Amino acid sequence: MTHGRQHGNRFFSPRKWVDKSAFYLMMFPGILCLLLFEYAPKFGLILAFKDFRYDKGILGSDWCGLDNFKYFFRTPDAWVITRNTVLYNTVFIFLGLVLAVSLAIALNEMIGRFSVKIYQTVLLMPHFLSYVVVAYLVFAFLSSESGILNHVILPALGIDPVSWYTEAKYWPVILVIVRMWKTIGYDSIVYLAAIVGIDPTYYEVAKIDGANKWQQIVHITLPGIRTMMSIMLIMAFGGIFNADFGLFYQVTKNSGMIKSTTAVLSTYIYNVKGDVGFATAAGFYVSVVGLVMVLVANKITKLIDEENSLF
Amino acid sequence: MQERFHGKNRRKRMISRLFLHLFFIILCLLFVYPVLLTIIVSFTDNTTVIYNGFSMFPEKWSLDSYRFALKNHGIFNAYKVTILSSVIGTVLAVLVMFLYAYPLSRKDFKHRKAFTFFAYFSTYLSGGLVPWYIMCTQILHLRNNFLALFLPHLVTPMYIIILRTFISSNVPIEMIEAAKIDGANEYRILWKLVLALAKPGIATIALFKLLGFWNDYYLPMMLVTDSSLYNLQYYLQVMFENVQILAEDILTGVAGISVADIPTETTRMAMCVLTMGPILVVYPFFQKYFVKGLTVGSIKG
Amino acid sequence: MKVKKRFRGLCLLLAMVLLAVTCACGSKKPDNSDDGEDKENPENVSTSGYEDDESEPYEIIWYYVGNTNNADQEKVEEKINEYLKEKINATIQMNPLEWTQIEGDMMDNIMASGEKYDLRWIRGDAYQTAATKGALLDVDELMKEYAPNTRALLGETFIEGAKIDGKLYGVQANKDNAKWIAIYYRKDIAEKYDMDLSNVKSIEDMYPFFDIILEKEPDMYPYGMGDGKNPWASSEADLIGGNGLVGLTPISSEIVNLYETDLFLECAQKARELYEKGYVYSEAALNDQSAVEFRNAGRVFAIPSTDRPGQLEEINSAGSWGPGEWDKIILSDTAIGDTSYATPSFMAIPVVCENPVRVMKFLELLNTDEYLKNLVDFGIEGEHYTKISDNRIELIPDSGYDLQGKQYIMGNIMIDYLQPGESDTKYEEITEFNRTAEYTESFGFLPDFSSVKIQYSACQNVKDEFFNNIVFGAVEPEEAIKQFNDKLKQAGIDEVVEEVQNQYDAWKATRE
Repeated sequence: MTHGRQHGNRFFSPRKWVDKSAFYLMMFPGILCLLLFEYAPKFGLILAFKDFRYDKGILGSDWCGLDNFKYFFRTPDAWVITRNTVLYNTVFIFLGLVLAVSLAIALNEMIGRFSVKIYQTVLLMPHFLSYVVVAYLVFAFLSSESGILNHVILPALGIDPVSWYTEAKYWPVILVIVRMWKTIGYDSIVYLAAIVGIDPTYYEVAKIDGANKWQQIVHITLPGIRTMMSIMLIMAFGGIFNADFGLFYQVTKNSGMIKSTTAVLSTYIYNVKGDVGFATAAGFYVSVVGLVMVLVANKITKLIDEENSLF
Repeated sequence: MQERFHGKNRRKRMISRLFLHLFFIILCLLFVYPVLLTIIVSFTDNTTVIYNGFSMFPEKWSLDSYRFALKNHGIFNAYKVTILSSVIGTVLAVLVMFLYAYPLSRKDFKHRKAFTFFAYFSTYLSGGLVPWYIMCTQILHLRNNFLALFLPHLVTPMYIIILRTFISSNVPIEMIEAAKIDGANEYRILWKLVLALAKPGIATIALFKLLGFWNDYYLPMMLVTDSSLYNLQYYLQVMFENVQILAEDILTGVAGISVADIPTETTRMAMCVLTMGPILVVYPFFQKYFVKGLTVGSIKG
Repeated sequence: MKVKKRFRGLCLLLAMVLLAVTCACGSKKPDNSDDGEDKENPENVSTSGYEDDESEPYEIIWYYVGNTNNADQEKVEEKINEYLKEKINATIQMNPLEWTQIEGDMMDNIMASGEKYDLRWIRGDAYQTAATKGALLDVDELMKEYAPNTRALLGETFIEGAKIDGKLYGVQANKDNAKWIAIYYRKDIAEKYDMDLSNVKSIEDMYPFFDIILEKEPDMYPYGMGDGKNPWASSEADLIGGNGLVGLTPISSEIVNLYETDLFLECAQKARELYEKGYVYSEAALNDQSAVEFRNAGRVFAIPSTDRPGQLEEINSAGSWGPGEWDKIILSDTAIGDTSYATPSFMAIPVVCENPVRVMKFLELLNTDEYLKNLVDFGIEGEHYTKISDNRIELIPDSGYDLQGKQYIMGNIMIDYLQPGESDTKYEEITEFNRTAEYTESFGFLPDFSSVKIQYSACQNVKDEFFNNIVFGAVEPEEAIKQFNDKLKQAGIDEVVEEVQNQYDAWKATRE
């Protein structure tokens, strides 16, 4: 103790300055990257309000007010598209959280064993299949000419074959399954790492007190990763308008007859991807909604518990 | 009494373990089935696939898709580029992000909220591709530059925030204060204390970044025209796309090029296997950090 | 203390590396900027009179879709430059791109960022967008003055077809520029079952033969649909604007919503018939590659196709359509050319080009100089190909230079060396084919959708929802077409029709 104080005294006066400069120095490379690749290009936002022409350039092109935004509201399906996007993402966010956390807790129960490594690796595998390939796999499963489901599984259960790609009502379930299958292995990694980071002495104390597994999970594990869950949730809300393009475009084979349950913003925007003004306006729209969501979610979290908020 | 109680407990634990294993085995079978199918299709004869669809037990096996993918030796170079760029990119990215995240986790750092917002806000209201492209090519001159394969995506704000959360929940502020009183400066605290305690978090972010760089085809598509700098994902995509375009169109002057014997169906699957394989070998290395026992006590000792 | 130093060092080092990269890159001379000293006033160059002082060397930066894997790219480039230096005192920097790059974000960004380059390849639909958005230079006058031979080769009618508002924004490729509508079928299968196809005049005449296939060849689809191959694609509709929302039909000279026409209904009904009879793959609407993949694997008997002289022979000699031997039935009496044939493939000079004259001189050479064109197409004689006769060659496999069949994008194919499988008279046949082709009423009319782009894009989305299912026969046509049109109306198809009609009238007026 005395030793430490002596040390502290030696640096008494410049201490504060040293600390601060240390922090800024640490953050400097990151700030530089953000400025270069994220903030500097933001001046391009003006393109959302311009009628871009190549010969006039970004600055020289004429202003066109909100014309680029009108596209979103022109379609007779604006409501359906927005509804689908928000509903799917809400389900993905909450179901994804529950499944990923459960999976992480279950994996944690057996951590350190060789079998867990295998389980974890297998669960991560779908992450590597591109949506194009996933689309082919889903098609191999659902196709009415050669699909396994219609030709092997349903007949075995005595159910009539279903023309999956023309029946809109099945797709919310199909898409949620595909999405969860593809992402939970990956998403659970964060939570597993968070659980692993919990101080084991808590569990030891609980065991001595006679707490069972379930009580340990409820009283130690979940509170231990509460902050992580809340932060991940808040950030996920920021993407509420960002529908996973590959999932909704490739996996559905862009089939027309199921659009009422599969049309989302990103597939809708896809048709105007070549237009710089439209593309920027689309990004702007999605972004503003996301940002508002994040700020609201953050505010609510803050009111409940300051600790768990994003900023 | 004591004995019996213990035995009962042990048996109970055994049973719950067994159930857990059973659960995971079933889950894994569900997860692995489509992946296995992909792998098997990639080893199937293309014509067989077109006639019979995907099957776990194909009539005729074939290595054609791999022969086709490996035909030009470019793929080996693409592997090299991918490995180099993802390893270097990951190391740099983790370093930069960790250094940014740590101050944000310190409750005694006055501007931490502001800098958190600074990082997070950057993902919103993007100015679109054109200004980003101008920055990359005209100001930084990254076109056909090895750095182009990772530099623009070095910092992912979301990961900074995840890291920050890891650090603030795994490194108790009391420990930092104690270390300070012991006379450690900020750098020493970062190096000796925070780094050790945040290992699972860092491993997570490193893994995410590695997977990100490994699977990336966007940066080479935007910034690389020199085929010796193509990474694996982009190399395979381009190769496959060229074949598809040749197969679709009836172009004047394509005489002499036969696309009929190119195994399009199976190559698509082989591409996935070729990218997935190596990274799965690396995965256990990261899993090593997901083990219990990184106690606060062990650091102190 | 040690750690502190080490750490501060690390932070500084990291920051410095990043900064150094920034600065080093920043200060590095952009590889495509020129010296700037003797740069002429761009005003002088691009507008008045097109001056060019040939005593000053000029480097042409050229983007095209090519083979990026050529080991000998530089070698060939050197050879080309040797020749160009002597001819027009220019050198060329060849930048082959991938399809995803030239037709996607990368080339768009090159154009939008104002980066300097001199020449690019561009496809028809992109040509129109780029031109109306001001990315390309009007080369009409330039071509008259500096590429007269190329102009004569293409012919004024053909050139007129690519003009937008009376301005020409690129040099077209001289190749086959019309189509026959045909049905291709497997000759070996037809012979196996003694089919006599000589009297077939339409797809309906094929039905009896399709029934034979259904019965005798259970693994085969009688008719290959999918991937843009459907009755609508081979109809007589005169699509406008490439995507075919609006256009003309043989019975009306007014612009209409094509999906409201009887012609579309007929095609849809035909598709439905084929579908219900089981002649086609029932999931063609979902699987865009199906027709081609089935064809290549020998799983279809007949397939609709466009046709040109020599195509059949080339397919059979290369075996590029899979197993078996193919034959064809041409359904149309004359070859038809629509605007998409006038604007298939261009070399275009961008507005940022600093010496359009020299670039045009290069294009003249590329289109008329046999040595140069074949050097660009096939590489160096003896190294990349062997000459068999005066104008016939054989490529050396894996030689290090190869355009992989993309010769047609480079310009005039009629001076290319012939390859195995191509007939000796190929170019005469194609010239004759082009000469006798009939052009559609709207040939050369390129609408500008920018004033109705919101409606246009919204309509495109509606089309995505209905079109495939209808033209591949997956749904009852009457009901679906009605819904389709209701939704198109809501999306603003009438405004699109009206706008295009106005433009069409104005265009017609200038033609008379």
